[in-house]
Amino acid sequence: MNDKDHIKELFQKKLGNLDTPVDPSLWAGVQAALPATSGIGGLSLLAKLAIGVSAASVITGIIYFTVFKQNTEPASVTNEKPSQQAQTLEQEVENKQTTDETFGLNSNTSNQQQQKLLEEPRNEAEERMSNEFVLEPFQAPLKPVWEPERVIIEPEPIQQPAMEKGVPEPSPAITPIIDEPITEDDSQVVKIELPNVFSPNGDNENDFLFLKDYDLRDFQLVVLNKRNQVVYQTNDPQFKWDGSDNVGNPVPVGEYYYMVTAYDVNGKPVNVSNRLTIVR
Amino acid sequence: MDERTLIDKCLKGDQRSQRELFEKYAPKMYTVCLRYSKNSDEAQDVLQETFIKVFNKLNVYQGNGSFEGWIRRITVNTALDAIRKNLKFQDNSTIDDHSYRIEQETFHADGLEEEDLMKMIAVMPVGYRVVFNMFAIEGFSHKEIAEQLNISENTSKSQYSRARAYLIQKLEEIGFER
Repeated sequence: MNDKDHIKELFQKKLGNLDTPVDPSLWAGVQAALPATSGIGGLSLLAKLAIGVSAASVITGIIYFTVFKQNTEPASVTNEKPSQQAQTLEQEVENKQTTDETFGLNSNTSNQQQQKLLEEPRNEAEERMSNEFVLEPFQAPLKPVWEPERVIIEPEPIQQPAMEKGVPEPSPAITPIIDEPITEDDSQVVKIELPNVFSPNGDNENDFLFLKDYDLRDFQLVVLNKRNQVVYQTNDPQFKWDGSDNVGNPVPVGEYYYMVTAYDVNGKPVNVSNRLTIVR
Repeated sequence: MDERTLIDKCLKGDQRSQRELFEKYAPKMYTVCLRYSKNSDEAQDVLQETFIKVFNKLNVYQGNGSFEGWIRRITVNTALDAIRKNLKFQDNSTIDDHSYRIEQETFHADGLEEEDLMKMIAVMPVGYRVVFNMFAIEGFSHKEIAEQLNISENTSKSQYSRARAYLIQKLEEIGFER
């Protein structure tokens, strides 16, 4: 029975009050679900009203401007614009609440119905922002909403060669097993094996991304995030990546993409690309 | 700011205080979530849900009993709900079951780290894990555990003793001397 107390004591003592660092983006998720709405919660009703009205009036002005300037543009395009501008304007408005009074006065003169209509894109923008909270790290609210188009439009130059040579997109289903690496020509080229998942959490299990010993020339590994930004890059085939970015901060968990380009001893190109899942 | 003031401010919807409260208790509760959950994704979900509940139920907190204890109870209940909900989809493989490249220097006998213990709990079968957590760390009685999990008191006891045997074995494997 001594034993029993010991195990219980040990675990209770060590783990009972143990802190584990929490991803700050979690707070955004909690906040988004709370009834008190985001952003202007601390202000008085009057201030909220002033901000709301002034934002609407500013948007009205922009709409007028946009409509007059670009009469030829289809409606959907003009709809998109104010919703984005609305956000940046909202932030501006929040920053200089003191000057809002003037905007508020202006709004009295503008058409009531128009204001109502124009509230909508703003609400939509707010909704999108609060959705964003769940997914994005803390700086997200200060930036414009994530634009998925951008990711598609700007293909990473390094990705280009791999794509041209007809490397198929890896399947979206990520399973924690080694995917067969995709190589150019199975029969002749060195097959290199690189995991598609690792967990750099310091538990001594699967904490690093690294290659077995291969004899490679002109080696390059690039790891990209979903926005095609390079999070890790090396020319050393002996690399050992601990999942931190170039300034030493751990990269967020999630899906990444890696590309290896190199030549084997016979001068044959070795190109491997795959998804990479980082968990902690 | 003392706890009561903080709670009152949160009740009034003051966001700064809400965040302060979150930051004060989240790290500790995250450990709790990790102990019950099968991976850190699930633990984060549980943590998030816990704090949504905490803020929504804050008006119910009477101020008798420790506030941390109150939050911890919510955390444990939320974690248990998640386990129940996930049970039918339970796939006991975790990412580290597939650690095909384990580093050379895994465990050292000297200095038993908290993470090592967390790790041991994490790889226990879910039944052991929950009962062990509730009994050994949260300090529930077997009777309470039986009620919570809708199992018999004896099942709770036997699950606990099996969990304990499992942990003793693991501790011996890494050369931890009692």
